[in-house]
Amino acid sequence: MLDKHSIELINAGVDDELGPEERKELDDLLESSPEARELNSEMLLLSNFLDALPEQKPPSGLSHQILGQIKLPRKPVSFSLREAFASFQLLATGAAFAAGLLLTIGFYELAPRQVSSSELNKMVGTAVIDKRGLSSQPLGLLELKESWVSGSVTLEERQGLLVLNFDLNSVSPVEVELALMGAGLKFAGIVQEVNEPGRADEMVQVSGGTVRVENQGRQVFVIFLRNTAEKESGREINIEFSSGNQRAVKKFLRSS
Amino acid sequence: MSDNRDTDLIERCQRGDRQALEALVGEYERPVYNAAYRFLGNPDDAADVTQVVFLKAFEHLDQYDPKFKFFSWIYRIAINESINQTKRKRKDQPLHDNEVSHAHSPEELAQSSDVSKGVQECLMKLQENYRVVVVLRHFSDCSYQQISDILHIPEKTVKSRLYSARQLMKELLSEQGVY
Repeated sequence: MLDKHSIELINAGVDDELGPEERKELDDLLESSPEARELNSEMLLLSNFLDALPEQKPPSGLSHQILGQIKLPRKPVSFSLREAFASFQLLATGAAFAAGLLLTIGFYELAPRQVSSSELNKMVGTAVIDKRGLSSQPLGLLELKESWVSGSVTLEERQGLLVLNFDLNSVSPVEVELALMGAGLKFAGIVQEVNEPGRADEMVQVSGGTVRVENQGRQVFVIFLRNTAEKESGREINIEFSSGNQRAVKKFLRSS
Repeated sequence: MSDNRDTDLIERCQRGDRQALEALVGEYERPVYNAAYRFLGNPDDAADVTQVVFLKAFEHLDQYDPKFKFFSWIYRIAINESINQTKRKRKDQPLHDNEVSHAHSPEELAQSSDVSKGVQECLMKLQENYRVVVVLRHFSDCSYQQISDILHIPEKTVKSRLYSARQLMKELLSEQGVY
């Protein structure tokens, strides 16, 4: 009577799931046990028999039916903060800067619908927020000390919105990605405070619950998020920073 | 298909790229259909389930965790949907009287359409938890690790279920004179 281990060994051998040592063990077993050889032959025969059954061809047109029913998220809105900034400068007054106001570029609501590029242009400069005038509640701080990106991210709550304040410095372009869907959050807007002259343009992309910001040099920007989850406690806000092959993931754990 | 390529295609789908969607559906339509067909034993049900699998997968693409393989994820949906379909129907498949094939090698035997039907009938007599491991191992060519990932069961359980399922299959096939 074969023991359980021998039976498992034979089956794993039939399925080609053995390492070199186990293969050797099986070979020894087959050499010494007629019962093992018989089971091995039976299992091999059955396995080959099942494997040789012809593959079934899906009905023609099935993939077309499938493709016709699947709706993908609409292509994301991409816009250049610098272009937006340039447009805004025509409208902005020196007094606004002198007052130390935070310049809001492309601060907009995405949900319940996506915003077209033309609509975005109209929104440029439609909101000016005095950062000092807003009451805020600090919730956390993350520090970045990578060789390729440094700086900090703070999380605070401001007038019912969660606010991520980024202050980053990098030589090469860095992509910052926020996955909002699992965190029970929705993108509500983005604000740029400082833009170092002479650096590559930065891009913001919003799609399918993900916000991506690409930037380079000294970058200070703020992302506004709105809660969509009933329960916030225990949820994480994951922020992924990447540049080429380098990657760093930071997270805020939200508590009630 | 490589995991990296899948991940790239999924990210493109999430950005609304329909070419990436076509590539993913093209890649997985046949394996999903075959797994459903062998589990359900009926081409119409398999086609229905295949449609539902892709619709659900892309409807909930935001829930897909890239830490896991897309392959495992879509197969898991396929198996769950096949089980749901079985529950909905709950009709016993009528047995088919097969003539014993005169072919000799396992490959020759298996290629006979009557034999294929006979095997299918035997598969349908297995309990679902046995049938699913046979389907994934022999018709979807999954490794123990992949079956374990898809079904969320330990590899040890995969091994033991596969052994028991094969023993039962052997008996059933012998009874039917298929094998």
